[in-house]
Amino acid sequence: MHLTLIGLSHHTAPIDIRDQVALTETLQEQALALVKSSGKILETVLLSTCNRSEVYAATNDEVHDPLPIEEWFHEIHGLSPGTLSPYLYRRTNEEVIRHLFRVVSSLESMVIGETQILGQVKDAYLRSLGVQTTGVVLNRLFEKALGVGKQVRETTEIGVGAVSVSYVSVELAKKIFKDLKQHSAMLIGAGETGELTAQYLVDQGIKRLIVANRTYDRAAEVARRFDGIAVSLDDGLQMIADVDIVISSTGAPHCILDRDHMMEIMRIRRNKPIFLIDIAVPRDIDPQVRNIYNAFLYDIDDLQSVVDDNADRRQKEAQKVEVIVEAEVNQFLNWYQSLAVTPTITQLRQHADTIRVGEIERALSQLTHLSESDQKTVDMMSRAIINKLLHNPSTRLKASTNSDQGHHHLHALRHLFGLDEKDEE
Amino acid sequence: MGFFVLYGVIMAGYLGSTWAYIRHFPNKQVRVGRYATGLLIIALICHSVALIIRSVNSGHLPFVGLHESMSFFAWLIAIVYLFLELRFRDKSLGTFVVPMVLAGQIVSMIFIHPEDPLPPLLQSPWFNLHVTVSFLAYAAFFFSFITGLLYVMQMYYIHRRRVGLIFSRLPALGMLDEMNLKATSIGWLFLTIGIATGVWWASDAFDSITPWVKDPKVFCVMLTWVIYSGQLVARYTAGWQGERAAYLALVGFASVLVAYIGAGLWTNVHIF
Repeated sequence: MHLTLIGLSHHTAPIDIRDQVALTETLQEQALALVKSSGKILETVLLSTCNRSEVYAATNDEVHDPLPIEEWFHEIHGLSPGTLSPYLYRRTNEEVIRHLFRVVSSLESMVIGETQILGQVKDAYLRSLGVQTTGVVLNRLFEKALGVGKQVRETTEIGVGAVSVSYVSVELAKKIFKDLKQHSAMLIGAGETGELTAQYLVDQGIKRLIVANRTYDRAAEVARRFDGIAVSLDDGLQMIADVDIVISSTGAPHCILDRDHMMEIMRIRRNKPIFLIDIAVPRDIDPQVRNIYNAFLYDIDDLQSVVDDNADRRQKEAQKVEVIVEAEVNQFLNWYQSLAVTPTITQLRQHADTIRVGEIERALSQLTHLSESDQKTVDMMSRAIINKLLHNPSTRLKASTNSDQGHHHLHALRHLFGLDEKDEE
Repeated sequence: MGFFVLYGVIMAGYLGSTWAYIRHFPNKQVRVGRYATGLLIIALICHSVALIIRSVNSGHLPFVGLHESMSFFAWLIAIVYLFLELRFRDKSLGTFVVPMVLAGQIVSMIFIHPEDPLPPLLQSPWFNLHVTVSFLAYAAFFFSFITGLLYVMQMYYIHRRRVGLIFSRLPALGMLDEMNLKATSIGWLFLTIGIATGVWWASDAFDSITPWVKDPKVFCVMLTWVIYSGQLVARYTAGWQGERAAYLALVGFASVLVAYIGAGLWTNVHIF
């Protein structure tokens, strides 16, 4: 029994390579069907996300040989063998377990503590389960891994606090307003961070997005993408009283929203809370605005300091997660190592022999009248009984290792003879 | 003997529940959350039984004296909270409410004493109505206080740019403000009814108005009513929603406490 992992991720492969190997769900199912019909690999799970493409496999070869898996990996992506080799990492046995546990814990993610990966691993596992390419080993491994991922998120703060300026803005908006679906926002100016923030707000189901820009055409272009309303910059400034969230990122050399203007806006709004996100440098909104009642102003430095705090905390939490992962790897290894056939047979024979020797000694101590050759015969008989009794289980267990039933037999045997209990003693 | 067991289970239940709600707050572990709610329900059932037994033995509702009123108040808060939790499927308020329930129950146990007969003055059909609505008002004001307190806390974290764990676990300002408005409005309504029935009853019971108008508790309750009325009026007319409303909710509840406990110590009309 061997566990093998082959894969590439943002750690080893540039984006254009990762794009080539990202498979749709249908393609993944086809790939799994292919591996099943080939019969070369006993158990397979295929994990394919935008930053990661990995094959987890369990094989029954005597010698560990990752080559068929590597060939299949190329085949399912329609690439000639060897193309991906420089970007691939290969892991075996214990390293596979550790790698998967680290992946579900998000320690291997681009952004430590992100939560998507747990769902992605779950989907990948369920997909393989659906097309029946998993068995005893990978079922247990993935179920354990999902448990580890859940435990990590529940018992550590690895996922607490956003780690990008745009996401921090959205997190703040969600803590200021009860339900973003009842509020509208305005994006003033253009720029990547501003548009990303607007995108997140739209994803959260914001009621309405107004896009204001010095040039109307640019506003119209951005508004079209978000299904928003385009207005000119001057009109936008007049409409601030009607929105609850303002994202400002113009290239203006001076403030476009000063304290007096904001006081007037708050008067019109009757002090309804407003969240102002100023990500422009130099700033678009007069810093004094933050002293106005119910005006929540965050500028780029504020947001960045929150991002830094959160990133620091996640880094600290990652150490706790490492400890959890290591403990879980060791626990899983105990079970995994018991799967080997040869040690099991040796153990079984030792177990039988211990009983035999004990019983023979007891019997012979009472049969003192027997001659030496008679004693030998009795001893021989006891050996013969054990050998004949254990012959079939041993050979059949060895033979079944290459079938799907192998693990079940091994498990049953260890359980029925209490071999694991003996270990613990 | 049975009495000790019953009160022991109540205290242990609230204590365990408090511990679990506090543990649940940072990580929201589902299992811990279940313990929290489960223990609260067990404590509440025993608490209800205890209150019923006491009422049956004394022949009046458990409103008389600091022990009964405090215990009843804790029970009322717990049951309203449980309703809110099951309704909104959010346990974060419990971290702040359930310890208060525990504290209330502990205080009531300090003042425990054998059942009092109802003083002749209070043996009136008005008694149950007046006291019940007053308690409902107090319970609503308690939730107005808790939401106001959490609003001020959350506001502090947002203003100071300390948006860490506690920030992420506390509800949104908008949610807290809305709950505060609802709690304050309901409390104000019950308090108004409580005052009206009190006046009615007093004019029935006394020949002149002097004995009860001089009562310090009446004065404190009137002050409380003015504060909460002010909060509601300022919200609608001066745009004082949010932080200022939250601070007024804190002031209002301080006044409730003075009216409830403080004034109770030097009055001869309101003996609870």
